[in-house]
Amino acid sequence: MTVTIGYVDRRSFLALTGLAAGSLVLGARPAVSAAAQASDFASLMLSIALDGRIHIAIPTAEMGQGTATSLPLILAEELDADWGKVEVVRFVSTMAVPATLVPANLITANSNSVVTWFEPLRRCGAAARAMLIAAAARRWRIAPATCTTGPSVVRHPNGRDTLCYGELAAAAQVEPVPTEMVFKRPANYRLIGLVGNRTDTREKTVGTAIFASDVRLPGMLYASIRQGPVAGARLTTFDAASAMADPNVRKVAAIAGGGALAAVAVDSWSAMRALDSAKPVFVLKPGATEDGEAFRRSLLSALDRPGVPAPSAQGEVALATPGDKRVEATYAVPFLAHATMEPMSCVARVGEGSCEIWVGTQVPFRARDAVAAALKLPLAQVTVHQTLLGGGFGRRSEVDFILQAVEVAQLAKTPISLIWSRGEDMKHDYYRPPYAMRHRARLDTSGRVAEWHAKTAGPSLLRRRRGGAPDPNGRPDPTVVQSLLPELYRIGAYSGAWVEVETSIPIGFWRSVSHSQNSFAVESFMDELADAAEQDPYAFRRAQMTDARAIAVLDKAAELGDWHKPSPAGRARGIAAVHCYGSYIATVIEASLRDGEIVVHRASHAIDCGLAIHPANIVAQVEGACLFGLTAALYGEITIAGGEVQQESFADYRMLRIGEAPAMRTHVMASDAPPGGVGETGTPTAAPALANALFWLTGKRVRTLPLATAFA
Amino acid sequence: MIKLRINDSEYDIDAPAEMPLLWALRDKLDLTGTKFGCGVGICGACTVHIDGAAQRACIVPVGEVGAAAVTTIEALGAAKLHPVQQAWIDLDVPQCGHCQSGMIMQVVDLLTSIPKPTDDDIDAALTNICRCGTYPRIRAGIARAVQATRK
Repeated sequence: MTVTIGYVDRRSFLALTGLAAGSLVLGARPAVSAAAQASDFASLMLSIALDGRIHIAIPTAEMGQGTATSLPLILAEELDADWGKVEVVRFVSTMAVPATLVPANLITANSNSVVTWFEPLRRCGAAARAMLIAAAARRWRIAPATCTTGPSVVRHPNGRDTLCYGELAAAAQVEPVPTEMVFKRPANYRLIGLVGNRTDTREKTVGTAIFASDVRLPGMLYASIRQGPVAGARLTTFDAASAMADPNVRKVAAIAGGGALAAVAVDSWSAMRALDSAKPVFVLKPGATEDGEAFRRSLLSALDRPGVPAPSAQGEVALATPGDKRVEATYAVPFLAHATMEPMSCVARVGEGSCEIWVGTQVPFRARDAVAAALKLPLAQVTVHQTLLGGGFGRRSEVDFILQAVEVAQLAKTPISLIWSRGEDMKHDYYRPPYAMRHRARLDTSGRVAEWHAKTAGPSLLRRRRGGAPDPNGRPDPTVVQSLLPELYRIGAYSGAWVEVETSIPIGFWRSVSHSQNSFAVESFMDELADAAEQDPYAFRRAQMTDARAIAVLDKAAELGDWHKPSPAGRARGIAAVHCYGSYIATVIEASLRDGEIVVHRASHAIDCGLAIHPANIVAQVEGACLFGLTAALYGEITIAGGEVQQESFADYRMLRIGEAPAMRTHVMASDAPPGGVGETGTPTAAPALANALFWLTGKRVRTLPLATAFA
Repeated sequence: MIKLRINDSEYDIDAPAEMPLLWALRDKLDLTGTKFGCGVGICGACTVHIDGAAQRACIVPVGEVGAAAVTTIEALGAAKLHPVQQAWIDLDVPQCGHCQSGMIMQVVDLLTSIPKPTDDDIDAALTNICRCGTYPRIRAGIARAVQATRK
């Protein structure tokens, strides 16, 4: 028997298989939407076995950002668990009870894992602790309020007797689930903010970590696919005989309504070779021959159109005076690929009336729903096993490769491990779209920003996802316009606008989404304003900030980056500050030029993300996200010709190597504020801080990314 | 059949001579610790040791390995964690982890030939790509492993 807390009562739990008799099992559910609040599910979070082992399973993806540690920490803290007894279990969709009611929007994205799960996990842990205390108190025949807990034990007030959680688990599960929780005070935390090591490091260091491409099932074959050169292209012919001449190849067939050629073989390499031997020919979709250069120009000319308000004019426009300065600048950024280290991969097994998939995914329930729809199965018959993700960055919130694996498994009538080649992954991404952004501002004679108007031109991400016509009410896509205008600075009057320009190139969510392009423009423009006002960029920003947390972060980053000391000869520093995902970050980058080549020497960061659950990991995320942003700022550019992505490997989509990575220092501000997001927060400051450093170094302002060729 | 010596064991692999060693390891022997990242020898995720030297397994045909001894990440710390692995665990170097098997094998190779590498030595030897940006901790991990080895 199992119990849950919160919104679900005991009757919702029917027999749960696979649980040891006598274990205490609890679930929790976050409020992800109004719909979720109405639905009656709980995700199985926690099970305490007789021997005291504590299994914790969380539905979030572990893609390097550390949720397999930070989320269990929250639960274990309130449970008052011995961290050494905690084992993190990879999530399976059937752990949600009942799984069919879990909303598809329960995803790992928007840096919201800790933000979403903090409360439910605290409640789950606190409830379990209360039930364990109640069971111990009942056995001792004393009042529960007299008991305390230590790591995985309940303590008798006599100071002598204790009972372990393991031996209490069976009795605890029949205690009433409390409706009021008592939470620990942060001053009493043993784990949150203190535990150093991740739960998944060892397996990733000794080669036992399982990614989707590592799953092995009896009778499994290997597959790969080749799509047309342009999105939407359809297969016309392929040479099946040549492909099948290799005895290791089992099947070659069109899938996805002719959108791709699939090859199945006894090993992945033979499958990839078969795709070459088959020499597939595709016919392009009419009108899908977009030219990247022409599209870039169309974005710039779109800036002359009014667009939709994002937002409409706010604040009072102070009258202009003769000494005022007007500044205008136009910025542009290209398509960007995600380029996760692990190419797209998924294992699928299709049975009679059921389907199981093993996949590293940011969207397990969206994947389940898509597979169920494709196979015309009830939701309850589709099971998603979460594996580790070899990088997500937003790419693994798509389900294209998952549906391919399922279709190939159906055709092959045996379990299939689908792996994309790197070329396929590079050319069939859902790219961060290009945008052109124009900023206009007026500085008054005291150097304050009296007015700021911003406009962006580019595609809608949400419309691409939901399809259909532009919003008839003219509401802007928030995933395009968020942070189009700065949130950190006091501005007299401001307005924003978005001109939607469609693209036929598949587009998607890339680490930090709209902040990736908007913060480049905003924080570059702040430096252009500082320059016009003849003020130091740090001082100029500080004078416009009203939020104490933002000021503290700016001050700290400036201190870490030695802003107030002279730069070494031949080097200059740039600063940028951003408020995103509920967190504040400021970054100082120190750079130089060597024979026209940009050298990034140092990057210093201060982040305020509220309560820091796992500080060592927050540092790792900020620094890693910064390197992700620097790679894009320096080299990132996907080019399109005739609708076809021109890049196909790391040779033509250059990645930062260790020799080019700056030395980093990161400070996590102490805070008791509610947790903010961290996974993407380190990316938006990278490009503007670097562009600003290069301006102060050379006097040349570069407003188009990538930067590497601009100083050559 | 191709005879290979992998992690101190002999195997007969039923594969064409042109099959890259990477796929023989992963798909024929289920040694999935060695990862596929690009297939053309650029990213380094597939790095193994052949007779003690780091090689990118995705561009080494099994037919060319011959009698050489292949070591994969699974064997590196089998008896006792390698100091590099211990440093990686102490400092939580990996994030997503997909580059790390190859990264560790390359670092071990570096420290075998240069026990106390300079930053320039590290830059030259470590061209492996890490998309998560663990480079700062990789440097710290190398320093820690060097310290541990010198004791």
